Amino acid sequence: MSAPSVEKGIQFIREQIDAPVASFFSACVHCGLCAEACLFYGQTGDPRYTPINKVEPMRRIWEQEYTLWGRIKSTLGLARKVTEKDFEEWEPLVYDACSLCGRCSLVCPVGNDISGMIRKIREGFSAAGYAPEGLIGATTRAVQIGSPMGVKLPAVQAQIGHLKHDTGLDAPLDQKGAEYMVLLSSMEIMNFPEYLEAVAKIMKQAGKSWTIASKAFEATNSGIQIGTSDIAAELVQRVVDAAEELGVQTVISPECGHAYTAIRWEGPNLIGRPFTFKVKHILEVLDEFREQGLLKTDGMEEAKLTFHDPCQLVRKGGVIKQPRKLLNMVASNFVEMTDHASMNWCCSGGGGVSANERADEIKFKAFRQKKSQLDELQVDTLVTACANCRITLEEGLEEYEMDLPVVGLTEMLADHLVDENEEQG
Amino acid sequence: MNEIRNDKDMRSALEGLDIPAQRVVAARFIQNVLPLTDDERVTRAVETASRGDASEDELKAAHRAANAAALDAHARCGADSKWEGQSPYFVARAAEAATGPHVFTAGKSLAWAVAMQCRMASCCLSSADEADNPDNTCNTQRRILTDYLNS
Repeated sequence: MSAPSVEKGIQFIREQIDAPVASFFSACVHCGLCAEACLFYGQTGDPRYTPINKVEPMRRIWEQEYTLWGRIKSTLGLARKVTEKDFEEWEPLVYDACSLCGRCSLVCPVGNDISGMIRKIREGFSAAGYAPEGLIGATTRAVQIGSPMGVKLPAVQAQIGHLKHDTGLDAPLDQKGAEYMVLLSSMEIMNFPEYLEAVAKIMKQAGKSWTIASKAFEATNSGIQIGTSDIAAELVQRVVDAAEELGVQTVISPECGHAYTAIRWEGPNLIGRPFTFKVKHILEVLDEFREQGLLKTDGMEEAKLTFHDPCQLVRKGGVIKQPRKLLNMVASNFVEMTDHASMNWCCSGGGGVSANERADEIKFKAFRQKKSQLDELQVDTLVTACANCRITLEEGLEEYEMDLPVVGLTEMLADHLVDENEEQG
Repeated sequence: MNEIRNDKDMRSALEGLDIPAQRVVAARFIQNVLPLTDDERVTRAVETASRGDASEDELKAAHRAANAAALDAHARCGADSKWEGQSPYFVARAAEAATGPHVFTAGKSLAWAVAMQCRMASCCLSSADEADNPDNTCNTQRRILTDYLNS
């Protein structure tokens, strides 16, 4: 692979300009609705953060090279070429001030997938070498070690050992023919190991066979976040190879929003063929178990609680009813935020923003949107289903001195399962 | 003489304690793994929990401090992290749980949640095989609880 350069970046952006992108630029009516839908614009009022402006370098390349009027302007020397200065200027707009939440795409009256275009323009910025240090490091580790956070198999094995000893529950490694292959995110392994215990407990009660692949336990895909499809494809391929080698029927994406988008929606396109197995988010699987009567719960949370919808689940994946049905099993005082489900506001840390230390200031500004939603409700507990949302929410709550516990839905559900077997000491 | 021999007994005994007593036992669980962190905020939060008569305001302040310590110690998304260096995070989480409001009505007692975080703090430093060590955190917690119940 050649070294990053502005020329390479421009070439990569050019290659991303396909028929949908061309039609999106042609169709934009400059209505400004995408700005109103963006929490980074909404909480700063800075017009540079208008979503469609974030892809302005791509629009200029499209206009200058693929439209008659643009070509004439270029010939007459009236067009402003995309330069290194533009890459410098737009890099923070493309990476720091966009969580790829997709709210702009949802509200666009002409159906432009603006968020998808920002994902595409990142291909050019990455190729030009204009990407945040944090994401470059994470991507390098993902390729070299298998985890963006450098998590290695012994860490997973230590947790499995702890699980067996303390609870008697098993988390089988590399079990051929298991029905489910469970993926984990590094964030869960490092910060929320309760998730693994919750899954083990649920699978045991549901009577399902499951496994973790030692060669591909990691769910997160830094290639998607930084915008390098070759790397994204390589990371997806590792999961596909492991799932096919083990002969599993379903791969379960964990409580990690973008991991789900990467494997479920972008995955087959990235590797250029359909999967031979199904991919589901853990909440989809849990809701199937609920429908089949495989989850027996006891007790209800009395605390007033609400659910933060991870953007990638609701806007990209349509996983809206499942968490609510699951919450209904264990929560007696559940309330919705004003904007929820497909119109939910992002936590402000998705799309690689939380992996980019430089973006902390704007991330906390953007969090004020979530703060105002929570201030309105005055809940006791905040539930979500994404490890990255969970930490971002906790950080935002601490920044604004709000005392509110944040818990994972899978973990909450597991806490309520009827313990049918005696625990081992 | 009450003797806690397994986790089932431990959970049951912890659930039978009132919240101030649970905080005291939880603090003792954390003191067992406290050398794994050098964060003074965590140490002070554990001291507050251990008193048993801390006021709501004191607990709230301790909880906030422990929460801040946990967030400072957490493995940032995408950052180069080491599992064996993650103990301070789990100790801070334990202190956070020991001083926090008890909002869950099912599944976990406050002290049990603390016990689990303490075990994870130890787990960071052990390999998978070392979980069978008779002197592990799990057995130490049972001894701590036994001593408390018989005191």
